Amino acid sequence: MDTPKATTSKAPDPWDIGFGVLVLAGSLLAIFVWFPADIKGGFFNTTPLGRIEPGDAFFPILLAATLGFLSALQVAISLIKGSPSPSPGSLGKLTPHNIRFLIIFLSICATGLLIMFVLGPTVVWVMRELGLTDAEYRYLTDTAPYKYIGYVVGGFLMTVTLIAWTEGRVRPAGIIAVLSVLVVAIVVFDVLLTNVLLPPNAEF
Amino acid sequence: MRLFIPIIAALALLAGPAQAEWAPKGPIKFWIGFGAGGGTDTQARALAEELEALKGWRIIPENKAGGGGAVMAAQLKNEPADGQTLGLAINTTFDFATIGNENISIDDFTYITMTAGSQMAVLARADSGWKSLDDMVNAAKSGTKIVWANWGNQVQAGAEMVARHYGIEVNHLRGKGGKSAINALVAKDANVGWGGGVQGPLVAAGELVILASAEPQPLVQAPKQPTLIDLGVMKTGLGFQFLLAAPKGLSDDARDTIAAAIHEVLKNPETKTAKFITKQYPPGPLMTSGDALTAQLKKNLEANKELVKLVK
Amino acid sequence: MELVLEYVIRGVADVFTTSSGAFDWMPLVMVVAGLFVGIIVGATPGLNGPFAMALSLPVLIWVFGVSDDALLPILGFLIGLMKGATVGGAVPAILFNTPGTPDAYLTTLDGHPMAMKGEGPKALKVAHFSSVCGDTFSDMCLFLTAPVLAVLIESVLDLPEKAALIILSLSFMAAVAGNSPIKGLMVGVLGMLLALMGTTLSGNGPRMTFGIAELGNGLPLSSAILGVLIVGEVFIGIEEAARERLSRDGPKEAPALGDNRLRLSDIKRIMPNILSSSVIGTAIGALPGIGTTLAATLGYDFAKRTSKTPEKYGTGIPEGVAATEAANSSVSGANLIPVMSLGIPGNFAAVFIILAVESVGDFTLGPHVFRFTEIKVIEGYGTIINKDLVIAFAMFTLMVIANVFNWTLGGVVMRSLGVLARVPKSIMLPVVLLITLTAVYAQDGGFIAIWVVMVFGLIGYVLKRLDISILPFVIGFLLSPRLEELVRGGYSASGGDPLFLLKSPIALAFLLASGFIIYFATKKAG
Repeated sequence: MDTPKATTSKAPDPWDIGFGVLVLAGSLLAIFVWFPADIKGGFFNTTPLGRIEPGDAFFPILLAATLGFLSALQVAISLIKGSPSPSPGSLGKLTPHNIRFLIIFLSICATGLLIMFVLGPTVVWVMRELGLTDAEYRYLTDTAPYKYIGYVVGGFLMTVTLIAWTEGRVRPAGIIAVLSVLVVAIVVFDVLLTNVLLPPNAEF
Repeated sequence: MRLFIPIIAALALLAGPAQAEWAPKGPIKFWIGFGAGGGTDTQARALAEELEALKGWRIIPENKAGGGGAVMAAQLKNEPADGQTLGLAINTTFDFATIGNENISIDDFTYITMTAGSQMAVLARADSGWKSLDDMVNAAKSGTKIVWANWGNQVQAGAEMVARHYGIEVNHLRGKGGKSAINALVAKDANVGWGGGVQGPLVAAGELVILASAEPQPLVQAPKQPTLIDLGVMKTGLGFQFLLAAPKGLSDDARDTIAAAIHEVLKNPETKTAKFITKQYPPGPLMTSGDALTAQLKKNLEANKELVKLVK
Repeated sequence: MELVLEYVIRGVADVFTTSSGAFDWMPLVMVVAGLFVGIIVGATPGLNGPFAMALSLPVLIWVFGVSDDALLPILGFLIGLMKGATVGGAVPAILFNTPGTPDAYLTTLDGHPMAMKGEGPKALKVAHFSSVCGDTFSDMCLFLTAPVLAVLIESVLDLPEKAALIILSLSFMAAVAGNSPIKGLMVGVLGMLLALMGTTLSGNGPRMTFGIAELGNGLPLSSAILGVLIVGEVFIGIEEAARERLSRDGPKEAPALGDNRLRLSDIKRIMPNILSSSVIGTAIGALPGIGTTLAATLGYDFAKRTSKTPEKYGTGIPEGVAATEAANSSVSGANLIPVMSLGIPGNFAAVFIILAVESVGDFTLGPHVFRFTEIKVIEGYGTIINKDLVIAFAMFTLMVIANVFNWTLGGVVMRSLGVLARVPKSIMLPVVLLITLTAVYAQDGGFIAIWVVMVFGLIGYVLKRLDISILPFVIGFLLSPRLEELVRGGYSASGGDPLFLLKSPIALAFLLASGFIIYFATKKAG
């Protein structure tokens, strides 16, 4: 909080310029590629009674054009006057450390969520192959223990891995905390609230 | 009521090889094509609850709002046709919104049964002194500013058609949900409004008057008032019916068993569902189902296509 | 006048009765629960009010449902939470010199030295007293200002003016936060664009969905907002917790306690500071986009500058604690002024109040709320009444109830929470992530909600790291559908005049003001 006041503006910062250029490119892409392909209504609409009204593409194009204008302005100002100095306590960019963190963090989350999604159906599929059941996962999404397998295992692995990673070690406290949260979540979302399904059961 | 199931069973016997009545193998996902808290939602949740109690099927209702049911329909299309994903929407979801739509077509679904139908009315406050649509038109022509409350494009276009037919100016006031139009009317934010059925008690209490029916036939509460079709304003009504659909390819067996179960709930006047429908959408539940329902929707679709062509 | 009174009475009664007329203790219980949870949350480093509001909203919705009856218990809890968290924030700041929120940083300046002198409990009492005073003052201003402002706005502003007003608020928010106003405005527009995905006004089928049927009704609102506001913070928190792993030192031992009673003479001494800070905090709270931190800074500065002994500030005097706590607490009530009179949220807490209102019942916020419709009872239909107005007064009642409990029990709870400063973030944050993912899955129906939360979390993370304010993004996202309706409606109503926004003098003034704000803020930042 009491970081020394940053110096006044300096040479154009690549992150500052890069952000503007990226947004500019994005808004042009939106206007010329995305919207034409993905908005069925036109810029203007003719109502059944022949009146001309703004259509579904009206506001998106207006906004994207504003965005393009603002980003061009931002890039121009930064090139002429230099980039604004970041607020105290911020670097105004992603460091290699940040990017490394994001990659690891998102991989842990994605793996946990993937396990959450596929584990239940996989277990049922294996059981069917072994002749232990003839049901499909779709018909077991409200049957214990199948409905809990993916959520509990995926959620547990994801959360405990994140805790262990931040702490640099595995502590019983973390494991106990995660397990109790899972139990509470099951009690709230599965037992008390009867018309709600735990992830991933609404998917099948 | 007890007679009904044997009849269905007998039909099933005639139709194919003998088999036990269809039953779901797991939970039924009951999708509601409209948002939480509205009239459709109330009806659907009551129906789901009573169906669950009646048949012992596990039914999990879920709201999938948007596009007048079309957002739900687009997802329903891709579900397995095993009777365990059902969707409640309105007829226009299938016989109007499908026109020119790349995502859904009328043939993507199996239609199970209707549950209720609207009582679409042109309404005014009783203290306006208007007794008929003509009174309103005359008031407009002598300088009264008409603000017409609606809740969507289709009914707003209907108001436009009335305006064009009579050569008057109409200002539209858009609200969220059917009740909003009634509230705007009562709160004097508007002096004309559409009502799909919620207006019932207010009309009965003499607070609101029905100026015209936008159904193909006169309304239960105002049998003497003409329909907009009679008046030459439009060629089809603006009314709608609630109906339950499943993905295409649902077996007749499953379709008829589900329809029969729903009819059993609807026919019992003591059920919450039947009470709600009778109050909101008089005279009471509609039960057109199966092939008759499909045929009716297809007929509507052809008529609507004509309408769209005319407008263009 | 009689009608106003009738509405107020109905509003108060609404808190204590269900829609079927039975006595209802739920809203009351939820206010108190929210208040206590809020104090606990505020006293826990790493947690703050909006964060806890975001997390509890989906849980509350699933406990109470989305019917009209659910609205007051849910709002009660959120309001209690909002108020409790402002009070609780002073605990770690005073006792351990570790402010839980940025605005509590200024409380450490005099609060912690007081604690070091053995006056910790007294500092907490001063903080509590000033905080609740400021909060109550702010609420009073809300009750008086919002209806008047709303009526004024309804009568003056038409479609183009309302559209221009939204643009003005966004520009203002972009200008006061982050290092670059233009970038703030850019993410505001970006937020608006993303909110347009899904259904359309014309019924031509979904737009901008990349063919994903699940997005047909747009990005799920609460998932998107939870993602960018909360999950983005969780990303940052986990990264920082991992980095701080080795550099952790526990709080120091508390010194011996002296005389810690809060006497009438003390109250007399700090009262002027409380008053001036409350006015400053309320004024700042009423402006969209400016946070509690600025209120606290200004309140403290003002007290110091007008003091006869400015050199004593920072050495541990009650006036310092009072000035900051009254200022940052008086922001929360006034924050609801723009929400209730314009429907424009000015800060994160207000965003979650709006989110709750959007998800539950059929109540909407905005100037129409304060329309005094005549009350009539119709057999079989119910009562014809402006229900929104009743709920608005019920909301005010909930705030008063929260204040009463805050005055009486809040201080006791607050003084017993020193231990919470030790809960490790490294466990808290991943667990928060798991709860968020489960809750949005249940609320917004499916894995699509989980993907949206994660993607928006990433957006929140990147914006924060690039030093770009998140608030305009969130507000843009929230207000975009309304702005589209206003712009389309205004354009049509003008008979297809492309310059319709510039034809109304008020709208033009708003737009010019937006331009000036951005221009000067950019100049200053550059």
